[in-house]
Amino acid sequence: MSSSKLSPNEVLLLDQATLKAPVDNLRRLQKVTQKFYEHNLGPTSTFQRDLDDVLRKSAVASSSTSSADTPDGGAAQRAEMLKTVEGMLTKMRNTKRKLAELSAQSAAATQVASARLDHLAALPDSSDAAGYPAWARKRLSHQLSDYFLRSTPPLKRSAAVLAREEGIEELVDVELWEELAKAEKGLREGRLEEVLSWVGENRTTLKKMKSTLEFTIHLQAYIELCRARSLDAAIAYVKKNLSPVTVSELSAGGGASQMEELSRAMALLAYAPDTTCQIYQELYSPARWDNLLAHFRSTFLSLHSLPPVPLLHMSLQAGIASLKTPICCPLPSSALSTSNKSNGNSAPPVHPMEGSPSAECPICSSPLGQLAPEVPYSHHVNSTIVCSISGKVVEGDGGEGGQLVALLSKMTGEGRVYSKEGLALRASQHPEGKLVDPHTGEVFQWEDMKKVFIS
Amino acid sequence: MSPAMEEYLSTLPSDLSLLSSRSTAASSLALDTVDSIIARLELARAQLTTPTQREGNPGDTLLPLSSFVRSGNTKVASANKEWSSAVTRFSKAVDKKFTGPPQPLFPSPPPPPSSTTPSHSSALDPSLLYLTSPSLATSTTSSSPSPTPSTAPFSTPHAITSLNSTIALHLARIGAFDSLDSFLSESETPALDQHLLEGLKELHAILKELRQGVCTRALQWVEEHPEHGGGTGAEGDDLEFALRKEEFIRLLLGGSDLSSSSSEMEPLLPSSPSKPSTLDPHVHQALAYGGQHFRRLHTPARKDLIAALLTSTIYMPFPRLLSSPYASLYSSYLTSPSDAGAGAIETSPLCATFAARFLETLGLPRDSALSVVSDIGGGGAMAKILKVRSVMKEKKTEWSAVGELPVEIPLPSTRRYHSIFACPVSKEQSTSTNPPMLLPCGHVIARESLARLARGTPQLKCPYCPHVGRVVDAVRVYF
Ligand SMILES: [Zn+2]
Ligand SMILES: [Zn+2]
Repeated sequence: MSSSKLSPNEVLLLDQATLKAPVDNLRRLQKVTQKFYEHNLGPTSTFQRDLDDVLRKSAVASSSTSSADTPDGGAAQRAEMLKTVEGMLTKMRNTKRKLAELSAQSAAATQVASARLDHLAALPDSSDAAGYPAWARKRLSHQLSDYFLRSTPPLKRSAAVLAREEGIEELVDVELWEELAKAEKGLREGRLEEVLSWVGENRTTLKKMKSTLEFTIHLQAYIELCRARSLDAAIAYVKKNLSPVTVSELSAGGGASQMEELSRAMALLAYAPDTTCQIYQELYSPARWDNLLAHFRSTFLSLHSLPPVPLLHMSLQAGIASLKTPICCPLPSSALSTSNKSNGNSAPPVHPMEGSPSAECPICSSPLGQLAPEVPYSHHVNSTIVCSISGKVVEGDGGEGGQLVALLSKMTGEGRVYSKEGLALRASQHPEGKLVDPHTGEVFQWEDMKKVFIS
Repeated sequence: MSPAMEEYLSTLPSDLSLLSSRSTAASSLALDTVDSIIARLELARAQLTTPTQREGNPGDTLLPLSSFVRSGNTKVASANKEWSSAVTRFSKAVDKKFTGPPQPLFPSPPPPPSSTTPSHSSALDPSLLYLTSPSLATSTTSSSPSPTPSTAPFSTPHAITSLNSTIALHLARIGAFDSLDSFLSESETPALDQHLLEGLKELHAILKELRQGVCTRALQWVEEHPEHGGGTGAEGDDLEFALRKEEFIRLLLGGSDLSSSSSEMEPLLPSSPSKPSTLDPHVHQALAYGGQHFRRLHTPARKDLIAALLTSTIYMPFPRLLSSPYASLYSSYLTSPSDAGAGAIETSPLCATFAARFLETLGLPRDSALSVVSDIGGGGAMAKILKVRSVMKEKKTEWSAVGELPVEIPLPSTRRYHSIFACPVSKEQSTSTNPPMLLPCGHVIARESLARLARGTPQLKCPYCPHVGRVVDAVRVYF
């Protein structure tokens, strides 16, 4: 089985987030621009009030100047009008500057969205296409930068340098990762302000996701007040942030389990952190902070359409499982013993294979093989013969990859199969042009080669 | 764009361009409005600062401003509304197309067994435990017990070290040396072998030259490593010849303006074919170079090409060459290497061949392990694994505890590294206890099939051809 066709649906599975951040940004900029305009020029703006004011004065002035005998009064009016007009001018110039800024930001955001769309659209329909290696390289570099930014601590500098060196700046959402890092830093240092402010900015989406993150954060804040034995503050906090109405709003499915958790936590008002009661010890446990951190991170990633593990790991899981054979990664002995038994409704058992590691195989020959125990073995049902000399798949009968031939050892009576082309190449490199079995070192005559056919 | 991609992206490109034009329209309308307001205010201020009313009455200037602002606001509001609806439209199209990321394919081993959850598969090797818990990562947003970070794949210190050293080598292989430096220090990954690193730096320096059409260093390397590039022998040994050919052409065209689509393209006969070298020193140089090297690299297969290269020189200069019978040899040099040409040479077979030979001397495979594996994974394997997982979920079967994917993931033949023999009779994969047996006619079947077909007799008729032979003549083979 071979395949070079690329279906966008399959290949772009890991690019689900590519356009999300640009869209969020475009939406935000549209709203900000509209609000800004309305605030500065709308019917309730200071500008409108000033304009009405100056018009009123102007009307008064023009009616009074007709009687020309109060020049001083007219001059005072004009001075006042001038002052207002100048104030309006300053304001409008600022408005103009800010609008131009916002407009430039919108143009830049559109540019990012369009660059990303172009990147997706540039995926060729075949991995044999001339443009594919460059596209795949870009994608891998993007996945690497995603991995760098997710590491603990984030490898920020590496991600930035890689984005520059590989020309993928427009694919990397630096701000997004900075937002994540900022809130996580707060959580690691025992602060909830940062994460609460993030929750505030994303409340609508979180509600749509039925996230319980905000509840968990408020509960933790309450627990901290109990830990500090600021009981009045703790009660006030619950009243303000964790009332039954709020809790059901912050929870999926009515919040029954959250209410239960909250009512258990209310007992902390009576139990100090040194309690020996296990339920309350658990509520005071510092491990809750770790869970909160993980909860926040998974919520954050899911809100941005990013998988919970690095994109690179997703690719590698699938890639390693497609390649991994028992030659690359020997079967654990316990699995070998069960592989012959049938396991009810199980998938095919692992097939033990004969052969030696290959220097070209990325699982055999690179440290990636060390990741292989975490994923299943590949599954193959049809014969595929790879010549161990040429490294090429030999279809047999002189077709693609050449002709398969066997060298039958006169010593052992066993045979070894190679491609004829591979053996010929070896012979041409041999100082005396001899035909030698590269595995056993045994020397053969050309007529000893026996054609092999794989059906 | 491929038709499949066009269908996939559907309205996204047009939605985005609509958004773009509406955003520009709304922004410039708002700016124009403010500009006009400023102009009127400036006029009013000028009228107010001059004591006489020569400049006009400020009241007359300001009075229409009120209605101008009102109508401007209405226009801007409607442009903003259009803009906003284009944003919504694009955003909906994106949400519809990109429904969210897949969950990790293979949940990793759960954290060390806690006292409360008895392991129902304790007889198995711990490394296979993940196969028994397929739905660990499905509920990231459900109530309080949030996903434990320890179940993330490749998160053991050993896995991280292995992955990071693979990444380091990959960065060096693709020539991202700044990224490599930064990555090594930031992630505290041990440095690459010095010899290897120097070698890869040299390779990228040479490739950079090659992409600009300069073969000097590549040729120097080939001369220093005759076993990896030179020779006139088997197929695949064309590297030196290909480089010499490039160098010959470079010398020949050295004085020509390659970017000009010259006007003197009319087909001219060579004016003095008998003595071409008297005119152009570049022709002279190229011929001397060809004479020095092509003779040595002469093979029957290259005979015609060498003759064509040498003969074509009589058509110089370049514009005339391009309308000569040998134009096809030179047409790719027409564009300057700084634009379209650069990308073409990047993927040119010459660079690829050179890189492969060079990497061989460093003991490295032709392709970066990280590229190969992530390409296979991202190129469709993941989708296929996800699909079979969802089918299995429907059937309520789980990943087998014995750890082989339930489906075959198709691989390009360049990505097959190990021989697999499945007996054509029994369809079973061969093992050391049921090995492949070569029959005298050249067909191969598994030993158990052979025994079954012979039914205890010493004779066997090959199931794939008319040959009848003795069972004892069948030979056990290795692939
Ligand atoms: Zn392998
Ligand atoms: Zn036969």
